Amino acid sequence: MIRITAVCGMGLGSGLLVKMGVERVLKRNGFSEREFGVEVADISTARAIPTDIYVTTAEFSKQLGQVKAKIVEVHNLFNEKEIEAKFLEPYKETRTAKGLK
Amino acid sequence: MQIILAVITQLLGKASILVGIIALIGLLAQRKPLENVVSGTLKTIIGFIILGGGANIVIGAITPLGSLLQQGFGLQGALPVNEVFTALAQKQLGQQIAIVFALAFVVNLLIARFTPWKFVFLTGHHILFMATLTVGMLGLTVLSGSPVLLIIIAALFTGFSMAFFPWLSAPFMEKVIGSKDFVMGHFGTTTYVLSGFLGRFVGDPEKDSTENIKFPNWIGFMKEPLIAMGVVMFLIYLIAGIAGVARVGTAEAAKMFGNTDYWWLNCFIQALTFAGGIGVILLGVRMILAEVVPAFRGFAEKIVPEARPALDCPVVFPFAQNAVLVGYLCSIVGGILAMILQIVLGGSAGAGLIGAVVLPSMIIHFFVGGTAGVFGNATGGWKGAALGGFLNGLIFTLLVGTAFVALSKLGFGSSAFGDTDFGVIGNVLAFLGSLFK
Repeated sequence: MIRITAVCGMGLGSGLLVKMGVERVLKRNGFSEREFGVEVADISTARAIPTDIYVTTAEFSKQLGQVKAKIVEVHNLFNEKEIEAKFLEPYKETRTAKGLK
Repeated sequence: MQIILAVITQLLGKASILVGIIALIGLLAQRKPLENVVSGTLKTIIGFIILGGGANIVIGAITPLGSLLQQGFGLQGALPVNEVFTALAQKQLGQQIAIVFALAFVVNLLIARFTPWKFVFLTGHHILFMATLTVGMLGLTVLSGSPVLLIIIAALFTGFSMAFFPWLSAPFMEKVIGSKDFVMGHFGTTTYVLSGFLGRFVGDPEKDSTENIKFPNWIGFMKEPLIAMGVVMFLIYLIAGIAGVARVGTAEAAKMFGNTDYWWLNCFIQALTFAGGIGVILLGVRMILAEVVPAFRGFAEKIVPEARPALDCPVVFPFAQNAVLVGYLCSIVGGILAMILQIVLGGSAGAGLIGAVVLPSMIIHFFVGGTAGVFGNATGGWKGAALGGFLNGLIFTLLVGTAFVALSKLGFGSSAFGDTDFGVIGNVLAFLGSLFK
Protein backbone atom coordinates (compact mmCIF):
# COMPACT_ATOMS: atom_id res chain seq x y z
CA MET A 1 0.00 0.00 0.00
CA ILE A 2 1.53 3.31 -1.06
CA ARG A 3 1.06 5.99 1.56
CA ILE A 4 0.71 9.60 0.48
CA THR A 5 0.37 12.53 2.85
CA ALA A 6 -0.90 15.96 1.85
CA VAL A 7 0.54 18.59 4.19
CA CYS A 8 -0.82 22.05 4.94
CA GLY A 9 -1.09 24.53 7.79
CA MET A 10 -3.97 23.08 9.74
CA GLY A 11 -4.53 19.83 7.92
CA LEU A 12 -8.00 20.86 6.84
CA GLY A 13 -8.99 22.83 3.76
CA SER A 14 -6.07 23.01 1.40
CA GLY A 15 -4.81 19.56 2.35
CA LEU A 16 -8.15 18.07 1.44
CA LEU A 17 -8.00 19.83 -1.93
CA VAL A 18 -4.61 18.29 -2.60
CA LYS A 19 -5.90 14.88 -1.48
CA MET A 20 -8.80 15.12 -3.93
CA GLY A 21 -6.43 16.27 -6.66
CA VAL A 22 -3.98 13.41 -6.12
CA GLU A 23 -6.76 10.81 -6.00
CA ARG A 24 -8.32 12.13 -9.20
CA VAL A 25 -4.98 12.29 -11.02
CA LEU A 26 -4.11 8.72 -10.03
CA LYS A 27 -7.54 7.44 -11.00
CA ARG A 28 -7.35 9.22 -14.36
CA ASN A 29 -4.01 7.56 -15.02
CA GLY A 30 -5.38 4.11 -14.40
CA PHE A 31 -4.04 3.32 -10.93
CA SER A 32 -6.30 1.28 -8.70
CA GLU A 33 -7.81 2.91 -5.63
CA ARG A 34 -6.82 -0.18 -3.69
CA GLU A 35 -3.09 0.33 -4.01
CA PHE A 36 -2.76 3.79 -2.43
CA GLY A 37 -4.08 5.84 0.44
CA VAL A 38 -3.96 9.63 0.79
CA GLU A 39 -4.26 11.28 4.14
CA VAL A 40 -4.14 14.92 5.22
CA ALA A 41 -1.85 16.27 7.92
CA ASP A 42 -0.95 19.61 9.43
CA ILE A 43 2.68 20.71 9.26
CA SER A 44 3.24 20.23 12.99
CA THR A 45 2.36 16.52 12.98
CA ALA A 46 3.34 15.63 9.42
CA ARG A 47 6.80 14.32 10.26
CA ALA A 48 5.35 11.85 12.73
CA ILE A 49 3.29 10.10 10.05
CA PRO A 50 4.81 7.11 8.28
CA THR A 51 4.45 7.85 4.58
CA ASP A 52 6.05 7.25 1.19
CA ILE A 53 5.37 10.60 -0.45
CA TYR A 54 4.55 14.06 0.93
CA VAL A 55 2.71 16.57 -1.24
CA THR A 56 2.82 20.18 -0.16
CA THR A 57 3.65 23.80 -1.04
CA ALA A 58 7.07 25.42 -1.06
CA GLU A 59 6.76 27.04 2.36
CA PHE A 60 6.00 23.76 4.11
CA SER A 61 8.41 21.62 2.17
CA LYS A 62 11.17 23.72 3.70
CA GLN A 63 9.83 23.04 7.16
CA LEU A 64 9.48 19.30 6.61
CA GLY A 65 13.24 19.23 6.48
CA GLN A 66 15.11 15.94 6.27
CA VAL A 67 12.70 13.06 5.79
CA LYS A 68 13.06 9.60 4.26
CA ALA A 69 9.93 10.03 2.14
CA LYS A 70 9.85 11.79 -1.21
CA ILE A 71 8.56 15.38 -1.20
CA VAL A 72 6.51 16.73 -4.11
CA GLU A 73 6.14 20.50 -4.20
CA VAL A 74 3.17 22.17 -5.90
CA HIS A 75 2.55 25.86 -6.42
CA ASN A 76 -1.11 25.90 -7.33
CA LEU A 77 -2.85 23.46 -4.97
CA PHE A 78 -5.90 23.21 -7.13
CA ASN A 79 -4.23 22.68 -10.47
CA GLU A 80 -4.51 19.01 -11.40
CA LYS A 81 -2.28 19.43 -14.43
CA GLU A 82 0.52 20.57 -12.13
CA ILE A 83 -0.08 17.64 -9.78
CA GLU A 84 -0.05 15.32 -12.76
CA ALA A 85 3.21 16.79 -14.01
CA LYS A 86 4.99 16.66 -10.66
CA PHE A 87 3.46 13.72 -8.85
CA LEU A 88 3.24 10.86 -11.33
CA GLU A 89 6.96 10.22 -11.67
CA PRO A 90 7.67 9.93 -7.91
CA TYR A 91 4.56 7.77 -7.60
CA LYS A 92 5.68 5.40 -10.35
CA GLU A 93 9.17 5.21 -8.83
CA THR A 94 7.65 4.28 -5.47
CA ARG A 95 5.54 1.59 -7.14
CA THR A 96 8.58 0.04 -8.73
CA ALA A 97 10.51 0.22 -5.47
CA LYS A 98 7.70 -1.67 -3.76
CA GLY A 99 7.58 -4.30 -6.49
CA LEU A 100 4.11 -3.40 -7.84
CA LYS A 101 3.39 -4.25 -11.48
CA MET B 1 -42.93 -1.73 14.29
CA GLN B 2 -42.49 0.14 17.56
CA ILE B 3 -39.02 -1.32 17.93
CA ILE B 4 -37.97 -0.29 14.41
CA LEU B 5 -39.19 3.25 15.03
CA ALA B 6 -37.38 3.37 18.36
CA VAL B 7 -34.16 2.13 16.76
CA ILE B 8 -34.33 4.70 13.97
CA THR B 9 -35.09 7.54 16.38
CA GLN B 10 -32.14 6.59 18.59
CA LEU B 11 -29.78 6.26 15.63
CA LEU B 12 -30.76 9.56 14.05
CA GLY B 13 -30.68 11.21 17.45
CA LYS B 14 -26.93 10.76 17.55
CA ALA B 15 -25.19 13.50 15.59
CA SER B 16 -22.22 11.20 14.99
CA ILE B 17 -24.44 8.71 13.17
CA LEU B 18 -26.20 11.45 11.20
CA VAL B 19 -22.88 12.66 9.88
CA GLY B 20 -21.98 9.04 9.10
CA ILE B 21 -25.17 8.67 7.08
CA ILE B 22 -24.32 11.81 5.08
CA ALA B 23 -20.95 10.29 4.26
CA LEU B 24 -22.59 6.95 3.42
CA ILE B 25 -24.92 8.60 0.91
CA GLY B 26 -22.01 10.44 -0.63
CA LEU B 27 -19.87 7.31 -0.90
CA LEU B 28 -22.66 5.22 -2.40
CA ALA B 29 -23.44 7.97 -4.92
CA GLN B 30 -19.79 7.94 -6.01
CA ARG B 31 -20.02 4.15 -6.48
CA LYS B 32 -16.97 3.48 -4.33
CA PRO B 33 -15.94 -0.14 -3.64
CA LEU B 34 -17.77 -1.69 -0.69
CA GLU B 35 -14.84 -1.72 1.70
CA ASN B 36 -14.34 2.03 1.07
CA VAL B 37 -18.02 2.72 1.76
CA VAL B 38 -17.85 0.86 5.07
CA SER B 39 -14.51 2.28 6.20
CA GLY B 40 -15.40 5.81 5.03
CA THR B 41 -18.67 5.80 6.94
CA LEU B 42 -17.06 4.44 10.09
CA LYS B 43 -14.15 6.91 9.85
CA THR B 44 -16.62 9.79 9.66
CA ILE B 45 -18.46 8.63 12.77
CA ILE B 46 -15.21 8.06 14.65
CA GLY B 47 -14.02 11.51 13.53
CA PHE B 48 -17.10 13.01 15.12
CA ILE B 49 -16.45 11.21 18.38
CA ILE B 50 -12.82 12.32 18.34
CA LEU B 51 -14.08 15.89 17.89
CA GLY B 52 -15.97 15.58 21.17
CA GLY B 53 -12.91 14.19 22.92
CA GLY B 54 -10.82 17.13 21.72
CA ALA B 55 -13.40 19.55 23.08
CA ASN B 56 -13.08 18.00 26.53
CA ILE B 57 -9.31 18.32 26.46
CA VAL B 58 -9.54 21.99 25.52
CA ILE B 59 -12.15 22.83 28.15
CA GLY B 60 -10.00 21.23 30.82
CA ALA B 61 -7.01 23.22 29.63
CA ILE B 62 -8.61 26.66 29.62
CA THR B 63 -10.83 26.52 32.71
CA PRO B 64 -7.97 27.49 35.06
CA LEU B 65 -7.19 30.40 32.72
CA GLY B 66 -10.71 31.74 33.17
CA SER B 67 -10.33 31.63 36.97
CA LEU B 68 -6.91 33.31 36.84
CA LEU B 69 -8.12 36.10 34.56
CA GLN B 70 -11.09 36.63 36.83
CA GLN B 71 -8.97 36.78 40.00
CA GLY B 72 -6.07 38.67 38.53
CA PHE B 73 -7.74 41.27 36.34
CA GLY B 74 -11.43 40.94 37.11
CA LEU B 75 -11.58 40.03 33.46
CA GLN B 76 -13.52 37.55 31.37
CA GLY B 77 -11.79 37.07 28.03
CA ALA B 78 -13.43 35.62 24.92
CA LEU B 79 -11.38 33.08 22.96
CA PRO B 80 -12.07 33.36 19.23
CA VAL B 81 -11.26 29.78 18.26
CA ASN B 82 -13.82 28.34 15.81
CA GLU B 83 -12.75 24.77 16.43
CA VAL B 84 -13.48 24.93 20.16
CA PHE B 85 -16.77 26.74 19.66
CA THR B 86 -17.90 24.16 17.14
CA ALA B 87 -16.75 21.17 19.17
CA LEU B 88 -18.62 22.44 22.24
CA ALA B 89 -21.81 23.10 20.28
CA GLN B 90 -22.01 19.47 19.15
CA LYS B 91 -23.09 18.29 22.58
CA GLN B 92 -26.30 20.28 22.70
CA LEU B 93 -27.01 21.04 19.06
CA GLY B 94 -25.14 18.30 17.20
CA GLN B 95 -28.21 16.83 15.52
CA GLN B 96 -29.47 20.12 14.10
CA ILE B 97 -25.99 21.18 13.03
CA ALA B 98 -25.42 17.92 11.15
CA ILE B 99 -28.66 18.33 9.21
CA VAL B 100 -28.02 22.02 8.46
CA PHE B 101 -24.51 21.06 7.32
CA ALA B 102 -25.97 18.63 4.76
CA LEU B 103 -28.79 20.94 3.68
CA ALA B 104 -26.42 23.88 3.22
CA PHE B 105 -24.69 21.94 0.39
CA VAL B 106 -28.10 21.51 -1.24
CA VAL B 107 -28.89 25.23 -0.90
CA ASN B 108 -25.50 26.12 -2.38
CA LEU B 109 -26.12 23.81 -5.35
CA LEU B 110 -29.58 25.28 -5.90
CA ILE B 111 -28.24 28.83 -5.85
CA ALA B 112 -25.46 27.87 -8.24
CA ARG B 113 -27.88 26.12 -10.55
CA PHE B 114 -30.61 28.76 -10.71
CA THR B 115 -28.89 32.12 -10.14
CA PRO B 116 -25.89 33.96 -11.66
CA TRP B 117 -23.88 33.18 -8.49
CA LYS B 118 -22.27 30.07 -9.88
CA PHE B 119 -19.90 29.11 -7.09
CA VAL B 120 -19.42 25.87 -5.20
CA PHE B 121 -18.03 26.21 -1.69
CA LEU B 122 -15.53 23.45 -1.01
CA THR B 123 -14.11 24.45 2.39
CA GLY B 124 -15.87 21.91 4.55
CA HIS B 125 -14.80 23.07 7.99
CA HIS B 126 -16.06 26.60 7.31
CA ILE B 127 -19.43 25.24 6.25
CA LEU B 128 -19.48 23.36 9.55
CA PHE B 129 -18.56 26.50 11.51
CA MET B 130 -21.21 28.61 9.76
CA ALA B 131 -23.81 25.91 10.32
CA THR B 132 -22.88 25.85 14.01
CA LEU B 133 -23.03 29.63 14.31
CA THR B 134 -26.42 29.99 12.62
CA VAL B 135 -27.98 27.08 14.52
CA GLY B 136 -26.55 28.35 17.80
CA MET B 137 -27.61 31.97 17.42
CA LEU B 138 -31.06 31.19 16.03
CA GLY B 139 -31.73 28.08 18.04
CA LEU B 140 -31.34 29.54 21.45
CA THR B 141 -33.15 32.79 20.77
CA VAL B 142 -35.66 33.34 18.01
CA LEU B 143 -36.39 29.80 16.96
CA SER B 144 -35.91 27.81 20.14
CA GLY B 145 -39.36 26.31 19.91
CA SER B 146 -39.44 25.29 16.26
CA PRO B 147 -36.72 22.81 15.26
CA VAL B 148 -37.85 22.39 11.64
CA LEU B 149 -38.01 26.12 10.97
CA LEU B 150 -34.63 26.50 12.70
CA ILE B 151 -33.02 23.95 10.41
CA ILE B 152 -34.51 25.48 7.27
CA ILE B 153 -33.54 29.06 8.10
CA ALA B 154 -30.07 28.13 9.34
CA ALA B 155 -29.48 26.11 6.16
CA LEU B 156 -30.63 29.05 4.05
CA PHE B 157 -28.28 31.46 5.83
CA THR B 158 -25.38 29.03 5.51
CA GLY B 159 -26.04 28.08 1.90
CA PHE B 160 -26.49 31.71 0.97
CA SER B 161 -23.15 32.62 2.55
CA MET B 162 -21.53 29.82 0.57
CA ALA B 163 -22.45 31.60 -2.66
CA PHE B 164 -22.49 35.26 -1.62
CA PHE B 165 -19.06 35.65 -0.04
CA PRO B 166 -17.25 33.84 -2.87
CA TRP B 167 -19.05 36.13 -5.33
CA LEU B 168 -17.75 39.17 -3.38
CA SER B 169 -14.20 37.87 -3.58
CA ALA B 170 -14.19 37.13 -7.33
CA PRO B 171 -12.89 40.45 -8.76
CA PHE B 172 -10.03 40.64 -6.26
CA MET B 173 -9.18 36.96 -6.58
CA GLU B 174 -8.41 37.53 -10.24
CA LYS B 175 -5.79 40.10 -9.27
CA VAL B 176 -4.18 37.69 -6.82
CA ILE B 177 -3.96 34.49 -8.89
CA GLY B 178 -4.07 36.02 -12.34
CA SER B 179 -6.93 33.85 -13.56
CA LYS B 180 -10.60 33.07 -13.06
CA ASP B 181 -9.97 29.44 -12.15
CA PHE B 182 -11.28 29.67 -8.63
CA VAL B 183 -12.46 32.12 -5.99
CA MET B 184 -12.21 32.44 -2.23
CA GLY B 185 -14.23 29.97 -0.18
CA HIS B 186 -13.30 31.15 3.26
CA PHE B 187 -15.32 33.18 5.71
CA GLY B 188 -12.90 36.05 6.16
CA THR B 189 -13.98 37.49 2.82
CA THR B 190 -15.17 40.76 4.37
CA THR B 191 -11.59 41.67 5.29
CA TYR B 192 -10.09 40.21 2.10
CA VAL B 193 -12.32 42.41 -0.02
CA LEU B 194 -11.74 45.44 2.20
CA SER B 195 -8.00 44.86 2.02
CA GLY B 196 -8.02 44.44 -1.75
CA PHE B 197 -10.18 47.53 -2.15
CA LEU B 198 -8.07 49.80 0.07
CA GLY B 199 -4.70 48.59 -1.20
CA ARG B 200 -5.14 50.65 -4.31
CA PHE B 201 -5.07 53.86 -2.30
CA VAL B 202 -1.95 53.20 -0.26
CA GLY B 203 0.61 51.58 -2.48
CA ASP B 204 1.77 50.18 -5.79
CA PRO B 205 1.59 46.42 -6.33
CA GLU B 206 4.63 46.29 -8.59
CA LYS B 207 7.04 48.65 -6.85
CA ASP B 208 6.06 47.92 -3.27
CA SER B 209 5.45 44.20 -3.51
CA THR B 210 5.99 42.23 -0.31
CA GLU B 211 7.90 39.63 -2.25
CA ASN B 212 10.85 42.04 -2.48
CA ILE B 213 11.35 41.94 1.30
CA LYS B 214 13.80 39.57 2.96
CA PHE B 215 12.69 38.02 6.25
CA PRO B 216 15.03 36.39 8.80
CA ASN B 217 14.91 32.60 8.96
CA TRP B 218 13.86 32.19 12.58
CA ILE B 219 10.47 33.67 11.78
CA GLY B 220 9.66 30.25 10.34
CA PHE B 221 8.27 28.85 13.60
CA MET B 222 5.49 31.45 13.58
CA LYS B 223 4.23 29.83 10.41
CA GLU B 224 3.15 26.72 12.27
CA PRO B 225 -0.22 27.90 13.57
CA LEU B 226 -0.59 25.23 16.26
CA ILE B 227 2.82 25.97 17.73
CA ALA B 228 2.17 29.70 17.64
CA MET B 229 -1.17 29.11 19.41
CA GLY B 230 0.58 27.17 22.14
CA VAL B 231 3.28 29.79 22.64
CA VAL B 232 0.83 32.68 22.78
CA MET B 233 -1.51 30.76 25.07
CA PHE B 234 1.47 30.22 27.40
CA LEU B 235 2.18 33.97 27.36
CA ILE B 236 -1.45 34.75 28.15
CA TYR B 237 -1.44 32.13 30.91
CA LEU B 238 1.76 33.58 32.38
CA ILE B 239 0.38 37.11 32.43
CA ALA B 240 -2.87 35.90 33.97
CA GLY B 241 -0.89 33.72 36.37
CA ILE B 242 1.32 36.56 37.56
CA ALA B 243 -1.71 38.78 38.14
CA GLY B 244 -3.71 36.01 39.76
CA VAL B 245 -0.95 34.93 42.13
CA ALA B 246 -0.25 38.56 43.02
CA ARG B 247 -3.90 38.96 44.00
CA VAL B 248 -4.69 35.72 45.80
CA GLY B 249 -1.39 33.94 46.40
CA THR B 250 0.04 30.64 45.18
CA ALA B 251 -2.18 28.43 47.37
CA GLU B 252 -5.37 29.77 45.83
CA ALA B 253 -3.87 29.51 42.38
CA ALA B 254 -2.95 25.90 43.04
CA LYS B 255 -6.61 25.17 43.81
CA MET B 256 -7.56 26.51 40.39
CA PHE B 257 -5.24 23.98 38.78
CA GLY B 258 -6.23 21.17 41.09
CA ASN B 259 -2.68 20.15 42.03
CA THR B 260 0.33 21.35 44.02
CA ASP B 261 2.80 21.90 41.19
CA TYR B 262 4.39 25.31 40.68
CA TRP B 263 1.79 27.64 39.12
CA TRP B 264 4.08 28.57 36.24
CA LEU B 265 4.64 24.91 35.41
CA ASN B 266 0.88 24.42 35.34
CA CYS B 267 0.60 27.40 32.99
CA PHE B 268 3.08 25.77 30.64
CA ILE B 269 1.39 22.36 30.67
CA GLN B 270 -2.12 23.78 30.30
CA ALA B 271 -1.09 25.99 27.38
CA LEU B 272 0.38 23.01 25.55
CA THR B 273 -2.63 20.86 26.50
CA PHE B 274 -4.74 23.53 24.85
CA ALA B 275 -2.70 23.29 21.66
CA GLY B 276 -2.88 19.51 21.83
CA GLY B 277 -6.64 19.59 22.30
CA ILE B 278 -6.99 21.75 19.20
CA GLY B 279 -4.89 19.20 17.35
CA VAL B 280 -7.31 16.46 18.40
CA ILE B 281 -10.32 18.53 17.31
CA LEU B 282 -8.64 19.10 13.95
CA LEU B 283 -8.07 15.38 13.51
CA GLY B 284 -11.76 14.78 14.14
CA VAL B 285 -12.89 17.49 11.73
CA ARG B 286 -10.46 16.21 9.10
CA MET B 287 -11.91 12.70 9.32
CA ILE B 288 -15.46 14.02 8.99
CA LEU B 289 -14.65 16.15 5.97
CA ALA B 290 -12.50 13.59 4.17
CA GLU B 291 -15.48 11.68 2.79
CA VAL B 292 -18.13 14.39 2.72
CA VAL B 293 -16.39 17.14 0.73
CA PRO B 294 -15.31 14.93 -2.23
CA ALA B 295 -18.89 13.67 -2.43
CA PHE B 296 -20.24 17.22 -2.52
CA ARG B 297 -17.73 18.13 -5.20
CA GLY B 298 -18.82 15.11 -7.24
CA PHE B 299 -22.47 16.16 -7.03
CA ALA B 300 -21.59 19.75 -7.92
CA GLU B 301 -19.69 18.72 -11.02
CA LYS B 302 -22.69 16.80 -12.30
CA ILE B 303 -25.34 19.37 -11.42
CA VAL B 304 -23.53 22.67 -12.03
CA PRO B 305 -20.46 21.86 -14.14
CA GLU B 306 -19.79 25.49 -15.05
CA ALA B 307 -19.63 26.62 -11.43
CA ARG B 308 -16.32 27.95 -10.12
CA PRO B 309 -14.90 26.33 -6.97
CA ALA B 310 -14.57 28.51 -3.86
CA LEU B 311 -11.47 27.28 -2.04
CA ASP B 312 -9.74 27.49 1.32
CA CYS B 313 -7.56 30.55 1.86
CA PRO B 314 -4.12 28.88 1.77
CA VAL B 315 -4.51 28.37 -1.99
CA VAL B 316 -3.38 31.98 -2.41
CA PHE B 317 -0.39 31.71 -0.06
CA PRO B 318 2.07 30.38 -2.66
CA PHE B 319 1.35 33.45 -4.82
CA ALA B 320 2.74 35.88 -2.21
CA GLN B 321 4.41 34.12 0.73
CA ASN B 322 5.84 37.26 2.33
CA ALA B 323 2.48 39.03 2.09
CA VAL B 324 1.10 36.31 4.36
CA LEU B 325 3.71 37.12 6.99
CA VAL B 326 3.18 40.90 6.73
CA GLY B 327 -0.59 40.48 7.00
CA TYR B 328 -0.20 38.05 9.91
CA LEU B 329 2.05 40.28 11.99
CA CYS B 330 0.00 43.44 11.34
CA SER B 331 -3.18 41.55 12.17
CA ILE B 332 -1.75 40.69 15.59
CA VAL B 333 -1.05 44.39 16.19
CA GLY B 334 -4.58 45.34 15.17
CA GLY B 335 -6.05 42.63 17.37
CA ILE B 336 -4.12 43.69 20.45
CA LEU B 337 -5.09 47.33 19.87
CA ALA B 338 -8.74 46.32 19.66
CA MET B 339 -8.38 44.28 22.84
CA ILE B 340 -6.90 47.28 24.68
CA LEU B 341 -9.81 49.43 23.44
CA GLN B 342 -12.26 46.83 24.72
CA ILE B 343 -10.61 46.72 28.16
CA VAL B 344 -10.45 50.51 28.42
CA LEU B 345 -14.09 50.86 27.38
CA GLY B 346 -15.31 48.62 30.16
CA GLY B 347 -15.45 45.23 28.49
CA SER B 348 -13.96 43.32 31.40
CA ALA B 349 -17.30 42.14 32.72
CA GLY B 350 -18.28 40.95 29.28
CA ALA B 351 -20.41 43.89 28.19
CA GLY B 352 -18.57 47.20 27.87
CA LEU B 353 -19.25 50.08 25.50
CA ILE B 354 -17.98 48.12 22.52
CA GLY B 355 -18.57 44.67 23.91
CA ALA B 356 -16.45 42.08 25.66
CA VAL B 357 -12.69 41.65 25.78
CA VAL B 358 -11.39 39.30 23.10
CA LEU B 359 -8.08 37.46 23.48
CA PRO B 360 -5.82 37.02 20.43
CA SER B 361 -6.03 33.87 18.32
CA MET B 362 -2.95 33.03 16.27
CA ILE B 363 -4.95 30.77 13.97
CA ILE B 364 -7.19 33.65 12.85
CA HIS B 365 -4.34 36.14 12.64
CA PHE B 366 -2.32 33.71 10.53
CA PHE B 367 -4.96 32.48 8.09
CA VAL B 368 -7.31 35.45 7.84
CA GLY B 369 -4.69 38.13 8.48
CA GLY B 370 -2.30 36.41 6.13
CA THR B 371 -4.85 36.15 3.34
CA ALA B 372 -5.85 39.80 3.86
CA GLY B 373 -2.16 40.53 3.41
CA VAL B 374 -2.10 38.69 0.08
CA PHE B 375 -5.15 40.58 -1.20
CA GLY B 376 -3.75 43.91 0.02
CA ASN B 377 -0.41 43.19 -1.62
CA ALA B 378 -2.09 42.43 -4.94
CA THR B 379 -3.47 45.96 -5.15
CA GLY B 380 -1.09 47.95 -2.97
CA GLY B 381 2.19 46.18 -2.25
CA TRP B 382 3.46 45.87 1.31
CA LYS B 383 1.55 48.94 2.44
CA GLY B 384 -1.69 47.34 1.25
CA ALA B 385 -0.75 44.09 2.94
CA ALA B 386 0.08 45.83 6.21
CA LEU B 387 -3.09 47.93 6.20
CA GLY B 388 -5.26 44.94 5.25
CA GLY B 389 -3.72 42.76 7.94
CA PHE B 390 -4.02 45.46 10.60
CA LEU B 391 -7.66 46.18 9.77
CA ASN B 392 -8.40 42.47 9.85
CA GLY B 393 -7.08 42.07 13.38
CA LEU B 394 -8.91 45.17 14.52
CA ILE B 395 -12.23 44.36 12.86
CA PHE B 396 -12.63 40.68 13.65
CA THR B 397 -11.67 41.28 17.30
CA LEU B 398 -14.25 44.07 17.62
CA LEU B 399 -16.94 42.00 15.88
CA VAL B 400 -16.46 39.07 18.27
CA GLY B 401 -16.63 41.52 21.17
CA THR B 402 -19.95 43.00 20.14
CA ALA B 403 -21.54 39.61 19.46
CA PHE B 404 -20.18 38.03 22.63
CA VAL B 405 -23.01 39.20 24.85
CA ALA B 406 -25.39 37.12 22.76
CA LEU B 407 -22.88 34.29 22.28
CA SER B 408 -22.15 33.83 25.96
CA LYS B 409 -25.81 32.96 26.50
CA LEU B 410 -25.27 29.86 24.39
CA GLY B 411 -23.36 28.26 27.21
CA PHE B 412 -20.16 27.51 25.33
CA GLY B 413 -18.09 29.16 28.02
CA SER B 414 -15.77 31.86 26.81
CA SER B 415 -15.23 30.40 23.35
CA ALA B 416 -16.38 32.27 20.27
CA PHE B 417 -16.04 32.13 16.49
CA GLY B 418 -13.26 34.13 14.87
CA ASP B 419 -13.20 34.89 11.14
CA THR B 420 -14.70 38.19 9.98
CA ASP B 421 -17.67 36.85 8.00
CA PHE B 422 -18.74 34.89 11.11
CA GLY B 423 -18.50 38.22 12.90
CA VAL B 424 -20.77 39.88 10.36
CA ILE B 425 -23.36 37.08 10.29
CA GLY B 426 -23.07 36.58 14.05
CA ASN B 427 -23.82 40.23 14.78
CA VAL B 428 -26.68 40.29 12.26
CA LEU B 429 -28.23 37.23 13.91
CA ALA B 430 -27.63 38.64 17.40
CA PHE B 431 -29.41 41.82 16.35
CA LEU B 432 -32.32 39.88 14.83
CA GLY B 433 -32.50 37.82 18.01
CA SER B 434 -32.76 40.91 20.15
CA LEU B 435 -35.64 42.22 18.03
CA PHE B 436 -37.73 39.19 18.86
CA LYS B 437 -37.24 39.29 22.63
